[in-house]
Amino acid sequence: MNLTTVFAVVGRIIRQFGRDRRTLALIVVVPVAVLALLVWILRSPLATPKVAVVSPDAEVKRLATAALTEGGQLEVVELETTDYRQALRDAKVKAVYIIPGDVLTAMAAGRAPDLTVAVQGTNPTLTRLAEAMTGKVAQALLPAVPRPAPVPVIGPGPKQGGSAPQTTPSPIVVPFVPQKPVVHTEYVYGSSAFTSIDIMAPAFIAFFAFFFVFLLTSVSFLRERTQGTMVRLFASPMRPAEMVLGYTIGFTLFALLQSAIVLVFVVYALKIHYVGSVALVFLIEAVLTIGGVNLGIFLSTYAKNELQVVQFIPLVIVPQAILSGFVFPLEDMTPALRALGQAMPLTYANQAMKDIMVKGLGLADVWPSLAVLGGFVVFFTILGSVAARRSA
Amino acid sequence: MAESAVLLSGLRKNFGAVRALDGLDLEIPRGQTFGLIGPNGSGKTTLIRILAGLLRPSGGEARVFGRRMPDRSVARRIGYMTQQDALYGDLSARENLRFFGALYGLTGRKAERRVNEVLELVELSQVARRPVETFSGGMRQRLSLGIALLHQPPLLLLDEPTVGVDPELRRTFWGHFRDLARMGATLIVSTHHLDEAERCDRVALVRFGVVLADGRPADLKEASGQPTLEDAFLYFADAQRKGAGQ
Repeated sequence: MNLTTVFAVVGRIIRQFGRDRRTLALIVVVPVAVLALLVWILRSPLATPKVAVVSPDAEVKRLATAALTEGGQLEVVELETTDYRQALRDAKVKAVYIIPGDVLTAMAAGRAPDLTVAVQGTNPTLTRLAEAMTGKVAQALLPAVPRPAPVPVIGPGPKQGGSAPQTTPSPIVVPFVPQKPVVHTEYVYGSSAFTSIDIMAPAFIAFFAFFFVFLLTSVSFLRERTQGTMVRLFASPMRPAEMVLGYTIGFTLFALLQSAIVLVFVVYALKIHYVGSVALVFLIEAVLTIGGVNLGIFLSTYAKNELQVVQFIPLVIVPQAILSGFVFPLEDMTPALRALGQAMPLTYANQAMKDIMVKGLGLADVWPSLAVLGGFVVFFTILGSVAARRSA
Repeated sequence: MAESAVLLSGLRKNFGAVRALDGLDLEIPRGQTFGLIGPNGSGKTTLIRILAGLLRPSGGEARVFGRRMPDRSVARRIGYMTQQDALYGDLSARENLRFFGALYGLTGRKAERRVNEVLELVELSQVARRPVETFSGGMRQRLSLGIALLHQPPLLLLDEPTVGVDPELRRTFWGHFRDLARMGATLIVSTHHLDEAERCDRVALVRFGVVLADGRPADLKEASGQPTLEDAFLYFADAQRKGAGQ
């Protein structure tokens, strides 16, 4: 291994991409812009959906309305038409609660309240919310349920010893006062201040590093072939391994620079919550990008031109974006999907990044993820080196 | 005398079913300008690539300075100018030279001196800082030649160095070649310009992956009884055709 040769390659890559202002801007501006957009979306208050309550019983309607508006998740409006289906079709309201007039008497008789919620059915999240709110409505109706006469309950008398004085048991009335539960959420990691974006940001940083390094390496390696420099390189005393190492170092430096800028932006400008060690974050990034460089080298040998390199994006990048657990949590997936996700290097990088940035874990805890990631990197490096040798 | 610069014996190279080189025997002594003459597809580029260590022979052997190719240890002693100008368009002429120099172990002040010499030689000193993508075809060709001789290799493999080059520059190139030969370098130049072949010490006429004839241009003309090298080539090609017909 000749270090002069390796650093000649590193220097060349830095010079080439350092001069390519547009690409430099792309690798920094894109992640920053995407994250900023996500933060904007996820931190913006959601629009309050309008719903309506339909019931012949005014008291029921009042109680239901109060229950639905409480918490500010929904806004209850009056329907201008008697045809609630038309109102939904016209998008005047997002959901309509239909409560029969005899609901209270039914409940008094011990039957379950019969509530209908009509929805547009085009927004599953809203449908879930509308359904969940029916529970609150039912609860709100409880105090209004006419109660039968108080039932005397015989209290337990003292039964110790036969000689105890016999007292007349007084009737105890059990009052029916529905108490709202007081809910405390206990956080093992993070706090109530953490929103989805705080959980997603670490994975985003890893994803962008991987994506751009993969793209840049495969395009530059392809160019070496198409512009003929590859042939000249392999006619020189340089070994393919030295070339691969030079590429790896050069592009990893760019990836780390990108990550540093994105990280600073994310933490200081977007105020993403973040605990854990920066050094460890960079270690994960470095390992991941080494994998990205070598995967890029390997796959570029299967591309004839830049368009064909771009074709690898839906093949290599998109499945990882979906299945590596940064949009959809991997642990919620079915075993088959989880297995697919576990076959992807980005999954382990995401896991490690989350463990470090959200949970604040150290190397002692994240090493399994790092080890698997390392395994992928070794595998890709072998593929990359073989590919480089073959393209000579 | 030391071993010859290049020694080929029964050299064959197949690409699938295509026989690019079909049993080549050739000896090229040191210090000569050797022309590889032949039409497109005759196997000139394949031969040069084998000599550059880029291709592995399918049979027979190719020796460069006594080492059986491919052998990375002789790479430092070979300068290679490819048919297509292999340059980094986003780097300047000087950066291209520096990069390739470093691959051949040229670093520091020594590299800087040599880069300046070469820029001077190929008359690119004035534009050394310009990105190569702004260069004309002739400038690129000059830079390509400069890179090939940057590390002062004793053997230069020049694959059609004058393709697409105007007559004036071609003359300059051949002037450089003569100077290099005078300094003791061995040059292997592939071309299909027969007037260039006349300038070589020796030539080999290559067709369909075999050497039709090799020797000094004058000897080849004499042996074929033809007035020009072009006629001599056609004469030998005809003989090959007849031979194949039998």
